[in-house]
Amino acid sequence: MISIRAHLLSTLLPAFICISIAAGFSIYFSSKAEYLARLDSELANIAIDLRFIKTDPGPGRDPDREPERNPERGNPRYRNRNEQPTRLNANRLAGATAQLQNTLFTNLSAEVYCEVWIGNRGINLKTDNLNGGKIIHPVAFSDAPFFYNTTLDNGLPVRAWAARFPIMMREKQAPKVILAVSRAGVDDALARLARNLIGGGLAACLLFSGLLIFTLHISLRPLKVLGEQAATMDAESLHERFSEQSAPADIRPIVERLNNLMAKLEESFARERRFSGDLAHELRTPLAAIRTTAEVALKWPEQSTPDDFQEIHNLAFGLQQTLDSLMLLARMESATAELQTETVRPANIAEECVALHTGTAKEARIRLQTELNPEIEFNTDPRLLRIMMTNFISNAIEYAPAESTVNILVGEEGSLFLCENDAPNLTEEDLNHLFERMWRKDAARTESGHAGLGLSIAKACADSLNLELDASLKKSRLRIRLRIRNT
Amino acid sequence: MRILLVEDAVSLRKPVVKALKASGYAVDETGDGEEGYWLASEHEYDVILLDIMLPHMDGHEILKKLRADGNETPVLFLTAKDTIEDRVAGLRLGADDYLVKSFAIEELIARVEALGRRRYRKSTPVLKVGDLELDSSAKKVARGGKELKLSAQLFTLLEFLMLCAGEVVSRSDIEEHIYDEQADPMSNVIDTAVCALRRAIKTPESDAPLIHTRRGQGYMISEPEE
Repeated sequence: MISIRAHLLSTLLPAFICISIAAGFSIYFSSKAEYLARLDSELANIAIDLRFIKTDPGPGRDPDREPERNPERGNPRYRNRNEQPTRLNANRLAGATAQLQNTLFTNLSAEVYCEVWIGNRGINLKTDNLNGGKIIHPVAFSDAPFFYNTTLDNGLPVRAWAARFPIMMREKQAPKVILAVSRAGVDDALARLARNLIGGGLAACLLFSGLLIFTLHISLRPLKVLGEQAATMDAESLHERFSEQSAPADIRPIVERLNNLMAKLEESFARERRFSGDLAHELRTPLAAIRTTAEVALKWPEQSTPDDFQEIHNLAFGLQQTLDSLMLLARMESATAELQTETVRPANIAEECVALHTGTAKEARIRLQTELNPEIEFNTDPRLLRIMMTNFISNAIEYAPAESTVNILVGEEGSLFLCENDAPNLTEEDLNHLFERMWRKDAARTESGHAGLGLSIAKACADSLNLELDASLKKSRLRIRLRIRNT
Repeated sequence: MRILLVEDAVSLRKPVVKALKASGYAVDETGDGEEGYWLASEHEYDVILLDIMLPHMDGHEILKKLRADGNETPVLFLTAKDTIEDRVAGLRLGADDYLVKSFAIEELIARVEALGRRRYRKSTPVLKVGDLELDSSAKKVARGGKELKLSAQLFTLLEFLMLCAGEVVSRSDIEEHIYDEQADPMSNVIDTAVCALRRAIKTPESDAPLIHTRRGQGYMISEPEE
């Protein structure tokens, strides 16, 4: 995956170069067309001037007189009022040609090249600046003017105008006229323009490239900073946050989401770290006690007593319980536990569980008060339901103060099971952690029969059975409720 | 040497206290953080063994307060927390050593000995005064190359005197370092013990007195006076 910067550069730069080239061509060809149009206009004006030059009709003829129609041939003729028409002989023709040439070309500028063919009289007139050379003809002549580029014999590039042109009205066929002016100035101007366009285009491309790189560097800087900060993030820096204030509006939603994610990760890591620390404490402390007791007994046998062996037995039993709970929790959480569902009455299971805890409750001076609705029945796994109820009841007996009452209800407020006990030390904040693995209100985790796994196991069981489990605190009484999840 | 053990797990505290006492240390114990801090502030211990997760005041807090009070007693953290962060945090707070549960009791005792020596600026476990040698690791005493048999209490008394060799040690110092809270030493008990120690370190080959009485001040162990 290429970077955004490389992607923008590889897209924008060629696009700009293409646009620049197209613009350059456009400017060049429009300028060229304009220059040629000017030349064409100049040639057209010269042609108009030429059209209106008064030509001498020949010796004895009055050019101002209207041509007289030959009634037989219908052709216009110039005739002197006092003279009869006669044929021109060769000498007269040469003289007439020279005179015509003189008349036609006298007023032409020295930069204008002109060639005239009077076909029916075989006359070919050329301006002196052609030096006897000729202007290349177009393929065909017509009354409409035809403009074209050509080169004179001396290599001079010219713009030419060609048309049949009625210079002398008495001619049967209009003469062919070619006018030309030098194109050298235009070509020079165009060459200069092309050089300027290429040079300017290259400079513009370089400038644009620099500007583009600079702009991308500035614009993408927040992304770069974000990327660099993200790259340095690890488990130790989860408390850090990306700056939302300095982030551009475009990426602010991303930054906000990242910060939310970081907060969740931090919370999750803290929970996992707490869990691993608590687990280490729950496993290592009894293990250390077993090991130390055994080592002291070995090293100083006179110090050991039968109580030490009883202690080792109790510790090993506690460890076994913790490990069993962990295994059960792992099975529940990985959803590998096979459910064996059947129709059960929760009141019956609750009654069994209460009976099992009566002795413990008596020792702790806790009253167990039950209100079990025997009518309720539903389809579930009785093993998991029993695990949950046992955990709720033993938890309530463990943490309720002496001389208090634990209420156990089935069918109350639409619940399958409800356990209520006094919890004077518990806070609303604690409810957020109540079902976390290994969580105990006593942060010191002083030795007790509970590792803090009971409620998390119950939660995993409830999730497996698709039941809803919640805890609430009202007037310092903890209420744990199990009910069918609303779908 | 007198040790304070602050550990809330009774099942672990009991055998550790047994082992330390069997090794000749005077040991005070508690499972409560606040009480641990109070004991450490009130008595002059040679080494404090501190758990981190304690009720009412955790080990980090106790250590922080002790160091803030200017108490420089060597502290060994005895805890189940084994991550690098936990160790670093403990050592940065001013702990002198860190031992993760579970541990070999021999290792714990060896570390306690090392911390005790460090307190008295001794780098070797073998202490010498004249021709008297005491190996605090091997728990052996010899004079002129001949091994002597000493009771655990006399060994502890001799070790304390030799750690402070060349300095006058008052009776109250001896009480503070040799006897734990449960013992109720009377002043004549110290004198009796010193007298017994003098006899115990005397051999037919070497009978020059090493323990000298400084009237109104206390006792001092040093080379025989001319």
